[in-house]
Amino acid sequence: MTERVHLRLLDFETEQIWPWVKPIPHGDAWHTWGKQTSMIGSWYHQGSFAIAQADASLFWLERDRSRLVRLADGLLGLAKLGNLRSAVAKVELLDPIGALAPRAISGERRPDRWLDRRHEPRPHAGPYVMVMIGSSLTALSDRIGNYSLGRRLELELQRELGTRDRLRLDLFQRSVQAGGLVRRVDELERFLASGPAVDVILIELHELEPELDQPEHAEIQLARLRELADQHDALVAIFDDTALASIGRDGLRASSPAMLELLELARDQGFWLIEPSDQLLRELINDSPWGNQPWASGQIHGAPWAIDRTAELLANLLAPRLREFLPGRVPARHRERGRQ
Amino acid sequence: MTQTHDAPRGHWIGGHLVDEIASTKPRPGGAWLLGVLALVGLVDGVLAMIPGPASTPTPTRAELRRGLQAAADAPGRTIVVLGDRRLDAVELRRHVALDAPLSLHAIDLPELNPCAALALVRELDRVDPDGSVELAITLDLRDFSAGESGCSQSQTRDFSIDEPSATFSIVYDWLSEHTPVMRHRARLGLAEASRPNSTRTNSLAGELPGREHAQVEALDSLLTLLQAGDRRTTLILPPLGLARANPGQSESGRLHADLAGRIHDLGDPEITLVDLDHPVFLAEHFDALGELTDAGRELLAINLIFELGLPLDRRPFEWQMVHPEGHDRSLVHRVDQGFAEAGATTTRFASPEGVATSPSGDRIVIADTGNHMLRQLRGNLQTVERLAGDPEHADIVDGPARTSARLVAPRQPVLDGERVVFIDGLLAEHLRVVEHGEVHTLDWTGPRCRSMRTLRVRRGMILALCSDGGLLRIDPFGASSERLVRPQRGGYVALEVDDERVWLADADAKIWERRFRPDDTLGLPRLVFANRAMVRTPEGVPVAETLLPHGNRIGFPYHFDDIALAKIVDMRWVERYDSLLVMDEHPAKGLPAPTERVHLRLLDFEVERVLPWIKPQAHGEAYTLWNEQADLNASWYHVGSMALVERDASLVWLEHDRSRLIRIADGMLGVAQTANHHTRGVSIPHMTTLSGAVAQRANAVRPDRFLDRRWEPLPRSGPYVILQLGSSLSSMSDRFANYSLARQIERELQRELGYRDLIRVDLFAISSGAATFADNLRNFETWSQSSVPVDVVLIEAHDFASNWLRKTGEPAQIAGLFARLEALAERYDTLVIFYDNSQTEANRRDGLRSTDADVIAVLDQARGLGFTVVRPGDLLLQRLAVESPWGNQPYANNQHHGSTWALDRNAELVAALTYPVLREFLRGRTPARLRERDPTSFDQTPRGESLRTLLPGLAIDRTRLVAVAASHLQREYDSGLLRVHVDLAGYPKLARSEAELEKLAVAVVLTVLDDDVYAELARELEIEIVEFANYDEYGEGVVDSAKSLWRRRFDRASLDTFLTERAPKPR
Repeated sequence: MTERVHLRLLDFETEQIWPWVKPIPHGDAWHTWGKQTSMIGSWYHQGSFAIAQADASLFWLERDRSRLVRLADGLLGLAKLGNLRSAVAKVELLDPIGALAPRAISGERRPDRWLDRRHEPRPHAGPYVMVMIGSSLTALSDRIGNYSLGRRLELELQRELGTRDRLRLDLFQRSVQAGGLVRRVDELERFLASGPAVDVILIELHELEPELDQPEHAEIQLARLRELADQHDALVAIFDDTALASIGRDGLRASSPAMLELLELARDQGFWLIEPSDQLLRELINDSPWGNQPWASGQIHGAPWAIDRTAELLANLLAPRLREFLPGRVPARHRERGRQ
Repeated sequence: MTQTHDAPRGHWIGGHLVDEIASTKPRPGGAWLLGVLALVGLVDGVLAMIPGPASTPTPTRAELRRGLQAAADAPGRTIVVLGDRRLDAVELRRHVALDAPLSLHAIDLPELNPCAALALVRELDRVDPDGSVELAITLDLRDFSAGESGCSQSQTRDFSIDEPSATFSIVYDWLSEHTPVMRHRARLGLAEASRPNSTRTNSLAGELPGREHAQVEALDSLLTLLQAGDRRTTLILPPLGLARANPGQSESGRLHADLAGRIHDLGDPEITLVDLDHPVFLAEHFDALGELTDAGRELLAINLIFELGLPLDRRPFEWQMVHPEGHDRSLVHRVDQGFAEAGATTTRFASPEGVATSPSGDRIVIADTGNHMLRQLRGNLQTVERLAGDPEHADIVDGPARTSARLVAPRQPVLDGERVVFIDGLLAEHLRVVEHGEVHTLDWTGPRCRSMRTLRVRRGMILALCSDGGLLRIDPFGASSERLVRPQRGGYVALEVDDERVWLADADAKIWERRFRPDDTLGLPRLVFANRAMVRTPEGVPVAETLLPHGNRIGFPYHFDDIALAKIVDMRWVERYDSLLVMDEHPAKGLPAPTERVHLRLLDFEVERVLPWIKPQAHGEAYTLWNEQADLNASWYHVGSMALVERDASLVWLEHDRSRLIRIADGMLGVAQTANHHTRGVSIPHMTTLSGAVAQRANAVRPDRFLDRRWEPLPRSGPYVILQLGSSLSSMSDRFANYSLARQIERELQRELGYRDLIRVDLFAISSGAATFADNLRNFETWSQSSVPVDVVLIEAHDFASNWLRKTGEPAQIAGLFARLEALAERYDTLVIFYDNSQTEANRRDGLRSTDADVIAVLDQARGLGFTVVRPGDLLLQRLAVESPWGNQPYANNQHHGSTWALDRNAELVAALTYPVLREFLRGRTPARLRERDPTSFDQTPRGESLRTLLPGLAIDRTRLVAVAASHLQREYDSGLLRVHVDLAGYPKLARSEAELEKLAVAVVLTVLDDDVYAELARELEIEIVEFANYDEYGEGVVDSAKSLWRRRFDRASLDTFLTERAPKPR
């Protein structure tokens, strides 16, 4: 096997080791198990590498294929991941990246500082930062481990906004296991405290985490969300991800009255709401099931094709407003106090 | 100065004195006219220099008239779009395929309401009386609001010149077009300099007003006019964006539904209503005034072009489309329930129980039980209309169906012509009918039942299955009934009927058949399905294993003895297959029970065989999934109701717990198109029960016979048949078991060819383990003996463990395979495409590796033979940066198949690479299946031996042959004929005599037969020796300077003679 080279970044000062990755939808791609070779497979194949000091991009030259790739800063890649280490996703290795490494590297190293230096084959405005805070539904697919709605969404948006508007958008993803809106706002607060200033905030909500047993509590969380967004003059979108949840059965079900009430509350407060379920139901005629057998305990996450379709639709729903919001905007990163 | 009579009558012109020219003599009248014309021209010119609007946004009457006349005068297919969304013909044409033979015209007004549309259509009728020009007219629902009640004079202007009052209008129009002041009135501020803002209100009427509303009256007149003619007309409901402007405030859709009802009541197939007010239009697609932005108009144009049945210039993104390409559709798709009307994403149902269709499938009736209503879809099935009842009033009241009639809990509708018969009442005790817009409750003398389960209609008589298990025949005209089956404990729960029989299913899921006697009573019951395989737990719950036995070599088709049915909830006779389609609802553990627990089983009583009924899916396991928590064999079908369209055997499925209504094609065809792989090497709970064996069985029934009848929402040419032959690499993804490359290629091609070329392709596939080239060929041969003739065959090449060329590595063997392939392809002029799938293979390691050199060599040979070859590996390697890994961990034994995203990307690229070839090949072609012949008729055609077989019988001294310069040979092969051109420039010392040229020809023949890849295939050979007078800069002979010196064409016999006579013999 040639995919057996792992890149490790050694910090001698703190004696820490970090992976150097490109963030892609299949979050376990950097550590896959080869049963017949008893080996942890990597994304990197045997070859040679070089680092461009100007932007820390990696040149990777393979030995056994005629393949040369150039990747952006691998710590930035790590910081953007929203992986989760979850035993319910039935893969052979528990993901060693998990949720902690991205959070830690974001806080400790702030790789976003060099976003402006990143190699762009063609100039794009930005890069603008979008943060997506969601549950495991946005990070996992039960049969294959980490498979990220956020990463797929970033790809779709980068293509849509990059090709048509010459805008570059970087999506940072953070996943929380459960806890409803309050956990997401907490996570956003943490992210903003340590990570890059953001231009767009995307909050995922879903049916399985009812919020409105105390409506005033929801109002408080929405107010916190608004306040955090206002600090960066960020655009906020909340999307109902109930479609992806398939607890004990397949997904694409209606949201509960409590969920609808929460969405209504958010709408009343002027938040931008995205409700993709009905449009996604059209696709079930071809892409089925929306979840993964065997729907064992804890296995509630969408099939990879369900995540792909959801990301495609979300991108389609988000892009027009982003197209209005981002052009001409000074990226929030540039306005961050004490950034330099 | 006054001229005297004797003055010379001449003028200096050009330096010469010429006689007076009569015409130069000024005449009082002519001078005046010239002067006026000059002045007019001058004024016109001056006015034209005044800055003004670039164009007059509101067309004048004369412009409108001229536009319609231009459309009427245009040759070929012509469409006029009458609208008010600023879509001009140029904008629309930009989205139509460049080579589409079409004359497209657009008339765009600031506001096109029914009054204006009526006037324009009248004029079009005048200039195009035979209705050859097609129409598309936008209808804005806001025009029916209370504030929009009048038709202004400008809206009602009459274009007709047949009426006396029109004479003045014509004169006025002429002057408007030709006098300077009128021509430039916009520059002078005498006309609207810019398009006026909409005066429409942003709220909709709750329902369609009566004819006292001028726009409604105009609409009715418009519809009457259209119905009277033969003009094909598409009425378009454009996006309004009202809900987007006021999020959270949902429209009930009543107005839309009423309008659809008005149009569909006409029953005119030439008039269709297309709903384009859809969530694909976002708030950002409207400006502050509610007008569509550029992006919104582009989206509207794309959807409009598609709905008009025109080819798009490029394939759109799926999320741009209100209605996606394809023959299967989600007619209503909302995850929630409640009440709302009209559109696919607005309509909501409440626990509906029962659906019925007309025999042709152009009418679907739904028992919206929880909303106390019957609802229906008609025509193009895009709008849900009210049929009877009111969602806010549950009652049993007869009367006008859409207004005063009240229903309580309608269930199980059946159609008998136009009549709809249904069960109603809280206890399902009433039998009611909707007919001629009236609801009435049936009453009769004779036996009754307290509660009814389901209904059927036979020869005008209603058969009602009672909840007590009894069966009644009710004569709705004679108001009488008769008991056909007595009530019985644990009696019948489901009913189906045809002209000769009834089938009755009991609570133990046994099925009985009873034939009608001549007096219409029933004969003795005959047990046709005994449910012998049923095993229950001590608690009486069916054991899941018996409901879907699975394991190594276990699966569909099951014998009656091998599979059990849990609970029969409905049955439909499928006439084309002489089989009974049964809805089997499986039990589930825990609450709430998953709804995806209904399995469709097709029972063939003659051979006691059970087949599934499916729509083929990329995820081949989608019909047989295991739900661990519910102890359930999960299905693709959710609890609900079904109906089968008699004409095309399409299935209409209505879910009970979501607002979802779908229509999918013949499920036997679906089974025939699957190419699942049955293997132990999977990591899912079940080994697949839908393997290649059942696809083979389904294909033997030849469901393709009915392909021409399949429902297509928009007409498509074909369908053309593609057969894909491959290995498990084309059908599996290890972590999901079956995941089909074939299905994804079909989806891609259906979209690409459907949107852009209006072509439909259907892909059938065969998957065999580690399939070799020879296996693929054998499968093709077997297929050709009994299955649908194919237009295109896709053959997979791969290098998994050197299997593809196993036992066929020798050149002659390969050539033999190609010869057989060519012979098969010749039968129906089938296009052969090889696709290299080696990149998918991930044995012990990830995929996307280089293809084995031997495989590449054979593919090169295939390309040389004229077959199409696509090798996507290098292009896909680019995608690995993002889509990784290409295979599936843990790369265990036999787990070497691609990940789902790898298969998706493969399919996209294979489709993209083959599309241009397919497009050219399929356009205008008669599908092979329409030219089907008895396979033996092909086999009897003498094909002759290949020319190469001559060699062993010839005694030739090869040392005495002329040395052949390979660089100066050019070969062409086509359909058994090998043409070889010999350039004499390679033989400078050769004399040009006949004898010398013959010697060269002998040498060339033998060289070609020795080593040419075509030699095994060729049955004829043509040798031409040419000399060029000059050469191009690359040293190639210039064709127009070629001189043919020697030319012969041989078949096997003449070549034998030629070589025997002319080839040098051993001494």
